[in-house]
Formats: sequence, C-alpha cells, structure tokens
Amino acid sequence: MRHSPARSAFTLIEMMIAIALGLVIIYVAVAGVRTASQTISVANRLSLENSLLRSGYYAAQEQLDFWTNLDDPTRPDAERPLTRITSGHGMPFTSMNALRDAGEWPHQGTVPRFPSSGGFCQIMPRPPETSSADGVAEAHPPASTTGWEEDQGWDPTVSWSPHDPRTWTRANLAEKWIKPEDYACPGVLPPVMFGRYALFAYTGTPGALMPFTIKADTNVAAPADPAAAAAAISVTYTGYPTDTVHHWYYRQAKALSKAMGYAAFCEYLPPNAIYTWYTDSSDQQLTAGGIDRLCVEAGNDFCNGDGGQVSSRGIYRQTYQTSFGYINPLAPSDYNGGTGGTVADADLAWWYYKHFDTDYTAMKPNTNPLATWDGVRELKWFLGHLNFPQRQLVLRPSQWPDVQVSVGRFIKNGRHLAMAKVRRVAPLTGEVIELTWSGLGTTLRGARQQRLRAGGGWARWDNGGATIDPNLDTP
Amino acid sequence: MTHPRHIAAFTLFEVALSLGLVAFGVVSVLMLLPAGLKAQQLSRFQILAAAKAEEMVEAFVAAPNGNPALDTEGMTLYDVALAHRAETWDLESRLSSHRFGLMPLPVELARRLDSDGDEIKDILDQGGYVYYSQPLASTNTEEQGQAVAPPNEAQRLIIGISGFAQQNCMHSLQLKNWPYHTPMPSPPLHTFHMADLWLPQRDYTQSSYWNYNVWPWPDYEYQSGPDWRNKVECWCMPWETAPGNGDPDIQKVYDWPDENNVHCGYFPYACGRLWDWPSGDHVFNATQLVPPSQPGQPVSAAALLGDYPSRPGVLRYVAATLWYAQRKGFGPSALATVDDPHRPFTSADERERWKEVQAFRFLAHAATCLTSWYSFSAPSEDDDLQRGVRIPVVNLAGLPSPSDMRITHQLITYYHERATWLVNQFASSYPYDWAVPRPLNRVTMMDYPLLQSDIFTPPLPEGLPANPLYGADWNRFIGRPVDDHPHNWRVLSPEPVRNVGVSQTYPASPINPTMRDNGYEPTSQFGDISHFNLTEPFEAAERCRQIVMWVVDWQSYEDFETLPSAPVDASKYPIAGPRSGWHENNDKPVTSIVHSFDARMVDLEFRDEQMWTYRNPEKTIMFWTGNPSGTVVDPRTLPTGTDVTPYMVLNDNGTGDWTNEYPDKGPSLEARKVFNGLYGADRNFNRKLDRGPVPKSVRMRATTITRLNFYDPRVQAILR
Repeated sequence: MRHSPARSAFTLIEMMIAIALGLVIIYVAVAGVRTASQTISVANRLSLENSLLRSGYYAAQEQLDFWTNLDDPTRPDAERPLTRITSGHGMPFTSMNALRDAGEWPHQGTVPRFPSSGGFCQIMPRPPETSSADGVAEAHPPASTTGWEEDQGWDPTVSWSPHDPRTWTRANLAEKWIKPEDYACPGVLPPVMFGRYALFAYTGTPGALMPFTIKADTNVAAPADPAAAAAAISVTYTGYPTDTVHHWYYRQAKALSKAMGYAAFCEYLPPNAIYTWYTDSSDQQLTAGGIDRLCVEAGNDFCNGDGGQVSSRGIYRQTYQTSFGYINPLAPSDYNGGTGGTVADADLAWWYYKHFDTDYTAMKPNTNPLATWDGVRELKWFLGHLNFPQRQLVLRPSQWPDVQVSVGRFIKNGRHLAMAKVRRVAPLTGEVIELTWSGLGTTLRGARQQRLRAGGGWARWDNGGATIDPNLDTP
Repeated sequence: MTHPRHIAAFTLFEVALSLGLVAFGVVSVLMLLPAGLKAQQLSRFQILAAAKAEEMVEAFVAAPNGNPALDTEGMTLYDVALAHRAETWDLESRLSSHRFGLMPLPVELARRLDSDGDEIKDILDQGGYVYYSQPLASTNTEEQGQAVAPPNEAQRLIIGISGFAQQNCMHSLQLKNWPYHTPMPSPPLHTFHMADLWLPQRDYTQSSYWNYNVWPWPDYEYQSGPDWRNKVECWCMPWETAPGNGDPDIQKVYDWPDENNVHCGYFPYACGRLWDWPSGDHVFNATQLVPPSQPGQPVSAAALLGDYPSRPGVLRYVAATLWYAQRKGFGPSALATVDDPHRPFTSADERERWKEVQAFRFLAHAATCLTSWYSFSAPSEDDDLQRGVRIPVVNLAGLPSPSDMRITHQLITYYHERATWLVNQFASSYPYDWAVPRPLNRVTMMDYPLLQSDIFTPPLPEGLPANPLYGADWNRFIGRPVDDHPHNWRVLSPEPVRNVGVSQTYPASPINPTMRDNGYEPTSQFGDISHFNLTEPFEAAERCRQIVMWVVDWQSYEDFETLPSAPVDASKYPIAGPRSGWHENNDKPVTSIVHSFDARMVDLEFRDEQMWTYRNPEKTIMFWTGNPSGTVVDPRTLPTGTDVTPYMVLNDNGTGDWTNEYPDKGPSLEARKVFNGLYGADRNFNRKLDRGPVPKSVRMRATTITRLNFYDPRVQAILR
C-alpha cells in the first residue's frame, strides 16, 4: 500500500513567505490607515479652519456693510457710546435729531425745507437761461439769498449739487493764519490785504466785522503816500447790508465739523469741498479776516500743518500726512501711555476729533527719551485701535483655532479705507496667520441710514420710499 | 486505496485577483484622501482670492493716484513721465506699486512655474509680469512705521492679467496739465517757477512789457534760511500774462507801468516791486530797488509808489481791472450799476464769453481789496464804500481807464456774485475753451477734458529743431542725443481746444491744437478728430480682461528673497522735466548745462508719499548694501535669518535726511542697482533674510484658483 507523500502542512519557506506577506499586508494596512487617519485629521482641521475663516470673512463683510463692530443698534443705549454727544461734539452714530435737540445744530424752523420734488428740487436749478435753445425760462434762486440760504440742519434730500450756488466756497483762499504780532514784520504781507470775504459768506448774520489795522511798511523809509505814512489805518466795517450774504455752505460745514467726528466730516462734505468758513464763532480763534482757525491752523487737531501751509485746504491735503479714523470703542484706553481699561467718553470723543500721523511723520521712532510724541508709536496705536480684533467664537472647544475679525476705517490721501482683517490663532502652537484686505462696503452715511433714529434697531428702507423709517440722518 | 484529497480552496489566480481588487479599492480610497485635502486647500485659497480680488477692485476705484512730486508737463509729448505707461488707466499700471497691493514676481522665479496651458509662460513671453500680493496692508500708510504683521497666506497667491490693456483716456495733456485751478475771483494766475530758461524773455518796453519777479517769501516760509526755497522755486512767473497766451491785455491787470512809470495792477499792489532781482542775490533790500526800465538809476519816489500794499496801490489795481473790463467790452455803463448777477452771458457768441468771465473775475478780486482800506461808513473821510470809493483814471498803453467810477459795497458784492456765477457757468459749459482757469472753489469733472491718443495717425516726430527758441541746443536740456527723435502718438479731444495758450512750466514752447477731420496737421501735436472714440459704446468682447489667480508655494524657493526684482518698467523712472539744471550750477540759473538723463534722475525729491507710482514697485521692501553703521554688505550673502532691517530701502537710508538721500536715487551705478532691485527684497516683510528648502532647479506647478472678468474704465474716476 502506498501512501501519498503529500503533506497537509506548509513548508517552512511557504510559512515564511506567508508570514512575510502577511506582515507586509498588515504594515501597509496600518500605514494606510495611519495615513488615512492623518489625512482625514488634516482635512478635518483644514475644513474646520476654512469654515471658521469663511465665517470670519463673512463676518468682516457684514461689518463692512453694517458697521456693527462700531455700533450695534440692537444693543442697549449704554453699550452704544458712538451715539452720544460729549462736550458739544457728536459721534459717528449721533442722530441729527439729537444734535438739534442739544442745540448743536438747530433746524431753522421758519424756513421751509426743500421738498424732494417740485419747486426747489434736489438738484438746484441753474439761474434762468432766457436765451436757452428751448426758449423756456427755468426756475432759479432769487437774487436775494434771504430764505433759501437760511435753511439749517441736515437735510438728507439735498444733494449738494455743484450747480447749486449755495455750495460754492466763497473765501479768500490765499488768506493765512498769521500771528497778529507778525503783521508789521518786514516781508510779511497783511493777512487781509485782499479784502474781507466774510462779506460774501458767513456762518451767522454778519454784524460788525472786526476792525482791521493796516500798518505802514517800516522798511520803506519815505512813502510818498501820506496815508500810508501814518502809523496805521484802522478800517472798520459795520452797518452794511446783509441781504446778499450767503450762509448755507458755511453753516453746514461748521455744524458738520462738530456733528460726528472729523472722519465723518470728511465723508459728509463733497469730495471737492474746501474746508473753510468765515465765522464769528467764539469757541475758536479766527484769522484776521474771520476764517475759523480750525480750518487753517496746524495747532489744532483738524489741520495737520503739512508743508507749513496755514491756509484753507481740501480733503487730500488734510489727510495726506495724517488720517482721521473710527477708533473701536471696545479698544483699550491706552493712548500715549494710558492705563488701559474701558475708554471714557471724553477720550473717545477726543480720538474722533484728532488726526493721527500715518505718513512720513510716522517713519522713525522719536529717539528723544523725554518726547511725548512719537509718530511710529502713534501709527501703530492708531491702526491697532481701528482694527481692534473681536473673537468670532467666544466659546469654542479648546482644540479649535481662535478666529478674530476686525474692520478698521480711516481716511488717507482722500481715500476712505475699510481695512478688514481675519486672524487665525492655532490652538496648540499659537501660530498666527492673517488675511488682510481693503474692502468695499457701506459708507458712514449709508450705515447711519440703516439705523433707527430713536429706540435702537434697524430702520426699514425701500427704494420707493413708502416704508422709510426715521433714521439717524432724518432731521 | 487512497484518493487524492480534493482541496476546496481558492486558486492562486483567484487569490491574486481578490488581492488586486482589494488593493485597487484601498488605493482608490487612499487616493480620495489627498483629493479631499486638496479640495480643502483649494477652498482656503478661494477665500483668500476673493478677498484679494475685492482689494484690487477697491484700490483701483477708490485710491487717488496723486504723485505730486512728479513733473506734469514737458516741452514735447514724450518728455514727461506722466504720459508714460506708469500712469495709464489700467489695472496693472494702477496697482503695481508698493502702496496698492501688487508687486511683480521676480521673472527668474516666475519662469520656474508651470500652469495650465502655459498661461504664466505666455504672459512672461509677451513681456508681462505675474504678481504677488504685497506682504503688508496696502493702505497708503507709512510702511516703515507699521508693526510686523503675521504671515499672510495670501502671499502664496500669484496673480496674472490675461488679455491686453485697451486704449483709455489720457491722464492729461503732456504739454499742458490742464485744468489749471485758481481761486475765483482772483488776479491773473501766477506761480512759482524754477530759475530756468524756459521763461520767455523779459521785456521792459511799454508796448510789450512782461516781467517776472523773485517771490517775496513771507516769514512763515522763510523758516529754513533765506535761500532755502529760493534755490528751488525762486521766481514768481505770471503765467496767465505770458506772451503766447493770447490776451495781451491781461498784463495790464497784473503789472503795467503807466506813463509816469508808476506800476499798476495786482503785483505792485500785493507784492510791490521790492522783490525784483536787480542784483541777483535774492535778498530783500529796498535800497537795491531799481525800476526795471531804468537799470542803474537810484530809487525814485515814483517807483516806490506801490512798493507795499497801500491805498494808492489798491486804487491802481482796481483801475487796471476797470481798464481791462472796458477793453473786453464792459465799460462804465455795464459796471456802474447793480444788475442780476445770475443773468446769462452777455455775448451771444460762445467764443467771446471768456472775456466777460475774465473781466468780472479780475474786477471782483480787485474791488474786494478795497474793503481792507476803506470802511463801509466813514463820513469824516473823503471816501467810504457806502458812498463809493472814487477810482482814479490810469493810462495804460496809451489808453485811459474808465473815469468817474465809484465802487460801492453793493457793487463789490455784485461783482463777486457775478464773477462766481460766470466762472462756474463757463467751466461747466466749455471744457475745451481754455481761456480761463478753473475755479478751485468748486472742482468738478467738467474741468477735465477728455483726451486720448490717436493711434491711427502717424506719430509726431519730435525732432530737436522744432522749438525755434532753443534751436539745435535743445537736446542739451532734454537729455537726449541730437539724432534721437522719439515719436509719440498725437493727442485727440472730442472737439478742438479753443484758446489753448501756453503751459506754466514751458511758456516759451508753442502748442498747436489744430485738428483736422480725416487728416492731420503735420506740425500739430493733435491728430485726426474723426478718430476720437473714447465715448463710443463697445462690445464686451472688445475690452474684457481677466484676473487669473494661481496658488503656488513660491516662497519655498531657496532664493525667493535674493533674486532681483522683475525688470522695472522704464516708465517708472521718476525723471524730472527737461529743465536747465539749477542744481548743477551752484543753484544759479544756467545757460550752458547739458541736462542729461542722469541729472534728471536727481532733480526730484524721492519722497515716497509723493511719488509712489514711480520707482521700483518693490521699493519699500527691497534691499540695498549700506546701513546706518556704514558697513557695506551685500545682503544676499547674509546668513539665513539675519535681521535685514538695516538693509531695506523702506523710505529712507537711516541717515535721517529723508528728503534727499534715498539709496535708489541718483545716476551712480550703485543707485541704479538699488533702483532695479538687484539685491533682492524682503518679500514676506518679516524683516529677516529667508531661504526656502526648494532648490532653484526644481519646477513648481501653479494651480489655478479663480478667473475673474473685468474692464478697465475708459475714463479716470474715483468712486465714493
């Protein structure tokens, strides 16, 4: 009987091969699973980060559109510091109505406001073209400016058309702020030698323009003119007719300068505006001709003194060396070595009525140890307090990244900037990456029209005008 | 008997097949994982791309492009940088600057990048650039003072513009940067001017009197020493009265000697004649006064009349403006009584309306000056403005000014209102009549003419002998060889420019605005008016371009910060105008200086905040070799991780003299190396020299993230 030599067991070689194959398979499987696991983890982390970044991006876009980082109209009044009036100065979300009630910008109640259609329309008509091609005489403002010039308070239906003669700056743009003691210095021109332009436009009802004294030039030994040889010629100007004096533009400009802060001042005036007005204001000193020194003197916080210029300017020059911005009221009160903590209304108001160095004067740190001013430090403070970051998720799992969002708004070189930042902080390493862009969004004027005038909340708006709620710009 | 046992197992083939299927499945699943990862990465960069695209649009439409330190006028169409590509109104030209968010990727690095359809290669082959995102916020603020920002992932995006720039409006006319703005009402426009040869010759003869003067710097602007600004802008040039501006009567309003050699007009009233420059030393000194028409003669009492603002001076100024108004057809009957200031222009002929504007403009300004010298009511004096101030008659060029004129307060306010209305109406109605400067009080878009290049007419060869005033010597001043005749497209406007006049900078250079229909005037700088199409409608396909964004980790290259900048477009050289080189002759006017390209490269102050469109777009972050300690080091040789702040150009060289000492300024070879970014740049702005792990021999693939259609606007405009 023969038995089959076949055995049922594996040979050693087979076993070794099988085991080796098995190990390879197990290794590959484990490696694959590990790789897959890691990949999935990374993908999940990326997905989570992307979700958070995307939500941060959308949050920033929402802030660009609705300015909620500066003023949330759904919050109680106590949490809306930018709606208040401090020492006669409004803030970006102070309602025109509140300014009127506080007596800061009274509405001239006796003057009918311009209706949105018919009569005086939004775009003021040009004077009559009786010889125009169509032969139709157009409506025009009366030769006397009494009445339509007297309109005061903010009227959102008026477009400040350049065709409207009320919007024209009628000032001596060569007039400078020169110290009175310098009037008679050799080489210094009399500051109002080109006349008194307050005769043409003035913030109030002009009364007695200040006396002006012209002194003889001490360098000229023997003036032939006997009058010039006298020690001085005092020229008074009182009792003149005032029915042709313009008021509207200067009153609007002056009132706007204290209504919402200087950044808003630049937003509300037309881009071609000249920042100047003649006034008898008692809260600012004047040039010899009567220009409010706020407009022309570097010593205050509206004029930056760039180039030593002490005459009237437009928005580009006012925001070329320095900027005006919208400081986040949640940022700490630590300007120039301050102690931090919650910002007081007075400080907040000051920051909204102050220029900050943002260009060549912020190039180098001030090396003087006694110096209280340092342009570099100011620029960093300014940008940091505009873009004060707010957490996207206040409560979050500890392994989730922290995402912070901010939108900082300011004016530079006449450009109204909204700088959005979304910052991600890694939960374990603390690594920070940042997405920054200058965004397009709503202007302050648009944002104010989004908010109800009283009581908080959002105003309804439709283009038909049927359901427009009273908003912050409604007089 | 035994039987072979039947083993019911898989065959080797079956096992192999099964394993193969399992392996396929596992591999397929594993392959999905990186795809998912890639999808997430793509998603990340799509967020970044959306933000970057929004920024590009915002910067393009909202950022002003003012470069106030740059010369804006030349003697020829070619000679002013403002007319070059750096100022064209297309997306790349506008944004490729260190203040607006895009910087060209070094070309050597860009050529290592592959992309779908070789799109990057095609752009580079056509002479274009691909760009990376500026490492810090493009807010126009001072980069040097900004905090070091965290890493910006958007820097991995690279950006290309697909499609060619189309012809859009010109920034301005190179020969004359119209509009000129001046406050209204005002005297004839007068400006600072360099002490150079481009002014017309002075002429002291009464029949064609024309003069310019040393500017009387008031104390406020005298603060840096008596010669500080005199070295640069020392002369007061009455541009509006310059010969060639077409209205010789204006000179009488500005400054004109009467038959007794007493000067009348604005300048003698406002500044007097004390600031003439008889001795050439710029010094204000009454004892040196010499009436220009009597050189060497002692000071006379008559000459001193009007040497300082005075009542007689202002009366002569008013008289001169009345004289002018009469010459323009507005005599006492039109000026002695108050009328409706808003009435239409008096002349039915549109070509004559500028005369009324000018007449009331000058008269209103002069008459208002009376309010500084006369009270409204002063019964004890001979004159006041309630009763009227009597204006004496002056004889100018043999013609008397109106007699029996009394200027009252009511007339002054009427003149002002009338002048203001007239000039605004004129500016809004006649953008191509340049007889009157535009009102600074109310700048509008109507002040700006629509101009474009005529690319269908043979360009204007700008040969050197074209200007008869300077003849064959012209090349000395414009910095070109005699045989170098650059050609430039002629200019188009929708209608011929009326009263084109002369420029403020080069009033001796003629401008010929003649435009023909279906043809051109060979000597005119303007072309064929039938070619004007700036305002015509267009099809989308004609002008659509695309922003293409890719992602690639280009900062992994070992040399991403040590590679030189992309070649700087020649249009970004901030050359000065072809002036005569006051700086080359000890700050004195010169007559024989060859004004070379090198000299023109140092004429301008390289102030960053005034000239950001010009210079290398990577200027702020690029390296140079010096530092404040004086050590000269090639920053490319520094160890990885070195603090490179001392080697960055930023906005100065650390010496403290930020007005004049930029390391990329000047004609030296070293300055040009810096200007062209040959030493590399801190392209992630972390103030450290970085080198990535990837050798430069490795090619990378750029993955397309997004494509966005856009149009360049045809006309310049800033959105609010």
